Amino acid sequence: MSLSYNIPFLSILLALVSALLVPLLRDGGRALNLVRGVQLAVAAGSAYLLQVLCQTQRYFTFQMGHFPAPWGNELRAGPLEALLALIFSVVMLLSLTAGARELRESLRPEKLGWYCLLMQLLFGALLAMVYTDDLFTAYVFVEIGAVTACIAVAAKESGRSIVSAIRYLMFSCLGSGLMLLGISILYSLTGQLLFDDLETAVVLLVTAGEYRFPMVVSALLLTLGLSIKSAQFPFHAWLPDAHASTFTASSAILSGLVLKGYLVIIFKLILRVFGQALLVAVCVDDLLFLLGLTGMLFASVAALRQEEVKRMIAYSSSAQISYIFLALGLGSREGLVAAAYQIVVHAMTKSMIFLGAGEMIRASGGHYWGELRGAARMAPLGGLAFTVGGLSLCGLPLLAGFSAKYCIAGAALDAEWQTLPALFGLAASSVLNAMYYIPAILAIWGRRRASQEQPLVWEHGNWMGQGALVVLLAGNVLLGTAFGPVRELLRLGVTLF
Amino acid sequence: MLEALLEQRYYVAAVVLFSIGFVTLFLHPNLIKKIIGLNLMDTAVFLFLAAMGYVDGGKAPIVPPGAEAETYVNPVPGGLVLTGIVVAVSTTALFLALTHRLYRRYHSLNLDVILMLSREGEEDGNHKTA
Repeated sequence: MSLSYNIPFLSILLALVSALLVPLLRDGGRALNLVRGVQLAVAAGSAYLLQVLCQTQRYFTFQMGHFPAPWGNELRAGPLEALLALIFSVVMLLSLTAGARELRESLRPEKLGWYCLLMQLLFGALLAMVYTDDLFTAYVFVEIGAVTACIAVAAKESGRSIVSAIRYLMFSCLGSGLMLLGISILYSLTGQLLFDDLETAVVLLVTAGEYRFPMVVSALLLTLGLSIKSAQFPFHAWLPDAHASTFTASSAILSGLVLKGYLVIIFKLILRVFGQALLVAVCVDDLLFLLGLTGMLFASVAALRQEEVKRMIAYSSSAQISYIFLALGLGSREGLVAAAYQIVVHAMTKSMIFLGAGEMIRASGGHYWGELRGAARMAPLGGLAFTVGGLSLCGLPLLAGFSAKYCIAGAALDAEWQTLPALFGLAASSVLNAMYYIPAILAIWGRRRASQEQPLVWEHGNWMGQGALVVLLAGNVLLGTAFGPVRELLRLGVTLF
Repeated sequence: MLEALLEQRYYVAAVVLFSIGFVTLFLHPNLIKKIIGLNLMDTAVFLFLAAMGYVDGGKAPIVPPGAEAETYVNPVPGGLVLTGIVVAVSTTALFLALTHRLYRRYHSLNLDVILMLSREGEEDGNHKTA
């Protein structure tokens, strides 16, 4: 157990220390290799930790600096945390591998190293959000993640990307302000910041029937702050521009991973601080459910109207995040398992769609649907990634998106009044997804001009980028076909969370 | 009513400051004023936190060995405020840097004007590619 015991701490330490080493490497290519090497090592460590924790069916806490809580800080690792760390590191690695060519071509050589530093800091922040056992540490890393994500948007240095970054920063700051206010109120009620101690104190207060109103206000502020940060409808105004105006690798990471980091904190708050019983009693679960239900419909309708491929995918992200809120709002343990399934599936699928779209944009030279006609014939693997990802989100069986929807529907059947609205929302949203993904898929595989025969062109020389897309495709099919084992793993993870 | 407000004056001030900051951040088009609004919002939360840890008549939380128990001010909110200030300084610096870039490019600090100019630039770019 001694090696696996140190893996959470070592993962965060490796990510942060390697980020600090990046500026010492003058060559941007070397910096990229260093950050990807660290991500690979963290992925391997997380896979080992996951295997150990699943075998022993337990979780553990790691005392930072060997000071016991509440003086020292703590990390906590169970199967769900290890799985999330594994998925986050794999998606980060694959996104930086598949998007590397665009980064090398678009960024000035001296800037590539700085970009790698940003990505590695973001990676460290995401790992810390997954493993931390302390609410204030979570806040600090939420902020580190938000600042690095904003700079990643602005890194393209176009007018549009800087405007998007500033809007992103404004919403992000509002989200952090509300979150900090929520933490302050919670601390003033309980005097605790560690999740375990918070849970004990909240249970005592609830049993005594004291401070119910401020506790609800604190839960609402935290939920609202994190919803703004994770672009849940109707707080998603910043998302489409921010995700559409930056590099493909950044879009994939921002959409696939960064939004999930905040959701992990919501997960921790629901399961380990407020408890589902309290949230159900004060109807916060209904609020989450309604946010999710409206978001999955409205964001999908907005996606229908988009002329630009990346904006359409970004709106689709907002819709998919709403599925997670819907599942969290079911107020049951199965709902939490379904939300975790959707987190994993969306991290893998959305990054794959963005990377596929990036390949097609590069091949065709345009961002708009008119310019992307026939683009999949010029970049077949990118087209395949976009197609499989799109069909997965539409709910085609044997693909990851179907399994996630099936899991949410299964959880909704056991809910109270939410069953019918949830099933209607899932069905309507799937139809809406199909309404924008299927015409897009038909367009990209169509001929550029009716008279012109267009053969498929397989590009040589980008083996690593293409390999990354193949791994993402395989991961998507695996998550779709291995539904039973993945759900059991997530059930174990949620039980030990 | 007035007595209750006076008793909770720090919290009331924090709420008022937060509201002013929020309105300035989201409704004022000038980027520098938005940054001031953001800082007001952060300061309001820090005031809230600091007021929470303050104990009337409490001493600084430095306990010499062998000292008898006395009333001390809670040190944790102070630590949280310090961390919060570091975060606020970082976001302000980033906001200022982005504002500077936008000003160099569009020669304006008005976000509405900048948004209009950036959209026009984008449309021009599309016309050129078409």
